[in-house]
Amino acid sequence: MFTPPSSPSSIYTLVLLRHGESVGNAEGFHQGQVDFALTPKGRTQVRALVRRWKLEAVRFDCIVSSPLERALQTAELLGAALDVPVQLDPDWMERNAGLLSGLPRNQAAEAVPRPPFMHPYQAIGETGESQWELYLRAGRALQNLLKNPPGRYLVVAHGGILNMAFYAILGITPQANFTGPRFRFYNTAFATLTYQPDEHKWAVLGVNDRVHWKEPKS
Amino acid sequence: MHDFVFLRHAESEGNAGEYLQGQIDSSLTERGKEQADRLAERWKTLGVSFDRIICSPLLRARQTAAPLSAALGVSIELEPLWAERSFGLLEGQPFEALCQMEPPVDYSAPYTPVGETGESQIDLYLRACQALQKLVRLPEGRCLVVAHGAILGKTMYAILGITPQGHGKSPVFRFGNLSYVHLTYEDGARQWSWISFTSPEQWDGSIITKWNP
Repeated sequence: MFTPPSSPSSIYTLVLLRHGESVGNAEGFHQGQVDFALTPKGRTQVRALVRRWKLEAVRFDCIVSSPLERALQTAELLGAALDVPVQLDPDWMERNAGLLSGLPRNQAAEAVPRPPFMHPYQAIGETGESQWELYLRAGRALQNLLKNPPGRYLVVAHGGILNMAFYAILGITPQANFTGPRFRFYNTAFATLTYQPDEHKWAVLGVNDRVHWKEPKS
Repeated sequence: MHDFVFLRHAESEGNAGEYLQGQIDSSLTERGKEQADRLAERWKTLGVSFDRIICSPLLRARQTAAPLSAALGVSIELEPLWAERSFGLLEGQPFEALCQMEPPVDYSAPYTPVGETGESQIDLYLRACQALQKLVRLPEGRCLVVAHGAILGKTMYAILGITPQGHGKSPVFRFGNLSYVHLTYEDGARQWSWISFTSPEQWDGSIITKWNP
């Protein structure tokens, strides 16, 4: 606030985007690391975002995407439309949800009962990643990204891992029973942040920005 | 469930004149008044409703809340805990001069009063915690809080569980004029959900935002 602005060439801008609607979202599956493609609606959401970003003349130096199908399809549509290269980083994949992976949500509670209390080191779905494992992976994904020179980066990923990236940025640690704060990411909604390495200064500019998308009236 | 919208005031004389206001009263500029009117109109059109509007007693916040109160038919409750940070002797100084001070203004321990007689970061953080606790003890409903950048920043700390660090090294939530944060709090689950953080470029630009409860 009271320091002269860093030169733009030394600032990172990170846009953290959740994928468009997937078949798993539409049909109510626990997805985790199971692959689900985008639905036609998911593709429409991505096109709406492309229109918006073209209107706003938004540019990115690079897109870093989770390799899971719903993210990669989102990233490739954006990359082609905005003429930006897409790189993959598996650290941006969604949480491994263990035995919950690929289960319909309405069967999950019966098939894999959730313990009444869960500490943050406990595996999700018996064999999946704990909250801490996900948090540590998000920290590594950010670290990987910040090894690149300052610039404008678009990350295309998933709700769970993006929440833990927010924790890693803001200095929040995982809590028991998932009671820590939750950052909502709707399909194709994004958060905008900047990082000034010379000051070690993070700034949050927007969260769950989705003004390009209106749910059709049902 | 509690539903909270935390709104920063519209453009004030101090914002336009690029000096530090703190607890000095400065009026909205003509542009600021138009901004506030536009937001009131937009929320009214979108059918946004609140059960209460809580507002800092400083003029720029009250002038921002007034058209919202009129358009949405909700009276304003003033709460001094939502006033801006006191910056002590630095209040009224131009930002240009503040940026050149040695040692830099931000380079201090979180316990050091700013501008000799102002609030330290911890003072401000504790005040934000108090203000927040009062809010959460209200009956559940939809509540609009109209306040200021620094106090709202520390309110986000209180919500997220972040503490102020020395040398201005903790994260910043960049509230522009009329930026707002929408959060919900569930008493049972004791969980905060951050629904959105929206700047006026989004709601006032070519793309029309919508209220998404």
